[in-house]
Amino acid sequence: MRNAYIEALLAYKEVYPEICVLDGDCSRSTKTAMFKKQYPDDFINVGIAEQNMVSIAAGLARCGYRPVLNSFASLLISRACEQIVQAVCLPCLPVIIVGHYAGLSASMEGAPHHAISDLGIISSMPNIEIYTPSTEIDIDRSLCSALSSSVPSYIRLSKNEAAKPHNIPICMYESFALYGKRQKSTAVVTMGGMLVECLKAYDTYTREEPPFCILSFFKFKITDRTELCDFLRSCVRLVILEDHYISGGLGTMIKNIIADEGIKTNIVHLGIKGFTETGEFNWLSEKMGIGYRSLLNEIK
Amino acid sequence: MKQHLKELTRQATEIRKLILKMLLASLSGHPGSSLSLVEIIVTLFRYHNIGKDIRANNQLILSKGHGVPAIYAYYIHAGILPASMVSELRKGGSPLQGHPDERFFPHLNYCSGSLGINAGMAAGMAKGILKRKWGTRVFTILGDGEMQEGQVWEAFMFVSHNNLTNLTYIIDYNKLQLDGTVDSIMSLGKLADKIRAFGLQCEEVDGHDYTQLERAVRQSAGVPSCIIAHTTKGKGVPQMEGITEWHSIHDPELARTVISEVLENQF
Repeated sequence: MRNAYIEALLAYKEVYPEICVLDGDCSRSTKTAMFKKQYPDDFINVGIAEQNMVSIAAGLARCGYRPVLNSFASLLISRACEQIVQAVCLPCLPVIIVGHYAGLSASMEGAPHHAISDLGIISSMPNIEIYTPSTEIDIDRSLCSALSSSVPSYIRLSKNEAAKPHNIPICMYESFALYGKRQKSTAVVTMGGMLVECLKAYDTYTREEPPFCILSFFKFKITDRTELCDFLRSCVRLVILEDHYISGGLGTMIKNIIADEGIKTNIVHLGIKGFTETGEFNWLSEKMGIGYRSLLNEIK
Repeated sequence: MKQHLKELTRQATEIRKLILKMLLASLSGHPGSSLSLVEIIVTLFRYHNIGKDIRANNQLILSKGHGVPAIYAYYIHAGILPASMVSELRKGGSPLQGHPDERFFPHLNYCSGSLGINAGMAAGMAKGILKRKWGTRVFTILGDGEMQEGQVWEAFMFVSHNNLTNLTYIIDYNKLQLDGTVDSIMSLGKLADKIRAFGLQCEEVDGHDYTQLERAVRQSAGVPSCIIAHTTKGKGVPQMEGITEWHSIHDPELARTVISEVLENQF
């Protein structure tokens, strides 16, 4: 997703000249090195100092700049949690925080580099918008929304390629996109990089109509709750698929809405149940129960 | 000169009186940490164009936010806040929050409370000011205990590497922190040497001597710098000077008794 992200960021720089990019010694991985090449005066590498990076971004925002700071999600959000709360969210500064290598997408690096708790941490903070894009369009929408907003934002990006849905009906809503036909008894609810797994599962149905549709959230804090709830009420079964720990992520968010609204539906929650390990991405995803085969097992 | 210093000393006494009055009303807060700051704050406000507009005014950031009664006291003394605010410290709905909070006290461009964070925020602000070519400075007051936070040293590295010539840190080195002396908890060692090794110019002064403070502040201009201001915690109140227990009010009735007596007999 980082390639699509940096392309979009470079395009938006022309619209928002106040953008300045910070990176914590990851710029060759996050691709912000490409931004540095074009705009060296608007790029700051703070070195391996995530807490300082967030605080510096807050100071820049107070001078009217639009800081977009980048690091690996697992290292950034936990380490700089307090700085995000106190320096950015409390005064509500328009800082954009981009967490790369979300979920298991840096699978070979091992557990410390797997961001499986970042949404739980960030969603506990007031004032901050959260984006979990899946496709290149989502990435563009996320940046557009974050830049046009005056509040802090967190954008969660997988290391893997963005999903490329094809041969599937798509309907875009404010916080989510519906893939497939609406009138299905089973809906798979997902976000971010996991849309790829959902589409893989969808594509296995070559001779028959897939028995499910997919809701993929690109905006984690839902703003079009009425539309979502109408949809959820029409489903007999929800399968929630996320690359996050089972507490604090998408499953928690959806279940809270369902409980709040008194919606009766069967829920299966496929999320990460414990600490992870090193491995090839597909192997690791299945072992953690969130790969497309795990999803198909539930659907069948 | 002597007349001038007399006036500054009188101001410091008035501000200390206001700090004590505020703490008497709230029976909550940090007497020792506020009283040690007074001369530093008077020096900066008096001579260095401290204000709200980052483009036109120099910025004062109290990173050791628990000392904020000293800031509030200055604003009351200067007539920017009404005298009646002396009874509003830490009251629900009051602009005089327990730690600096710009949401409620709009004269500020920061919130503080968790130590170390504003060492970095100040660096970002200084960097932004230089990029904008506004010409203003950033003064950031750190506590000595706060120097134990790793983020402060991350900020120093950034300041030095980016040559932030418009940033001056001032350390209120009053030797005590919540649990005891700084030396017994986590000694700062040869602090000035450490700071210089991180690439900042560093001067040491008597933090209650206006002449030394002002000279150091002037000499800090144009170079990334730090001033170690040696102070006395609880300065100006003999019952509190150098005593760890007066870091914060933990016994409201004792505080009421002692502060009332001090205000009656001393101020």
